[in-house]
Amino acid sequence: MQLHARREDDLLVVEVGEERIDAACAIQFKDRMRELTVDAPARVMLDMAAVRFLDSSGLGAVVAVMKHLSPDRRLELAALTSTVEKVFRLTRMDTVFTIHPEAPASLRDAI
Amino acid sequence: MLRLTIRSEPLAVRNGLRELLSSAPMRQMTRTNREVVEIVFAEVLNNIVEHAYGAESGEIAIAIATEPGLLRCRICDQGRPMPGLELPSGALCDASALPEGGFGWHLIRTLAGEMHYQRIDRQNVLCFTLPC
Repeated sequence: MQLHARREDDLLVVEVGEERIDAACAIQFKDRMRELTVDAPARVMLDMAAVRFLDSSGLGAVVAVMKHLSPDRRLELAALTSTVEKVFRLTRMDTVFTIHPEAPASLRDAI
Repeated sequence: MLRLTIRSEPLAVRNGLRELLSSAPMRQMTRTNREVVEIVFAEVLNNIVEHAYGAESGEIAIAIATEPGLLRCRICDQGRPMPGLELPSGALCDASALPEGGFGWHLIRTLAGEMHYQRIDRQNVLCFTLPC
């Protein structure tokens, strides 16, 4: 489960380096996210730009991560691709997250 | 007519979806319709792996026929029957209750048409159509 976390001030951006968050890997995703967010700041943003596909298992895992982080920390989403956006919208779970068009660029890259 | 048989395991479902999505009937479809195919088949196949077969392993037989504007799909497995021999309604919990499940049948019911389930000779037979 390829997840790469970078801290940007009060935000932890987690880039998902997998094409799919699905039944085959939803549990690993959840477990790995718990590990990565142990010392997370108030905002955690999942950068989903590489994720082409997410099924109901993947959606459930993302919601579980959000519930695990709350109430002290908020999970936001960024860069939902077409199928992923469709799944969130059809299940109305897009109403539950702040969804950004893209994750912020790395501050390190700007130097 | 496209026929595909896969083992009831999550990675076999992934490979089967990849094979399905790159097959000849799919190449002429719009991207939107291909996305719908992937979503519905992923949910149906995952349900069979998790609920029909559970800890047992078995095979899932997929058959797809193209008609004008439609894909007619049939999926057979030899797992446990659907509870009550009926398809789940696919009702959603309120999103603000932060459900972690119950999404699959809602997606299937929303996107697929003419959905029909039968139990025939110890087989589950699920038929539905998708836009093409």
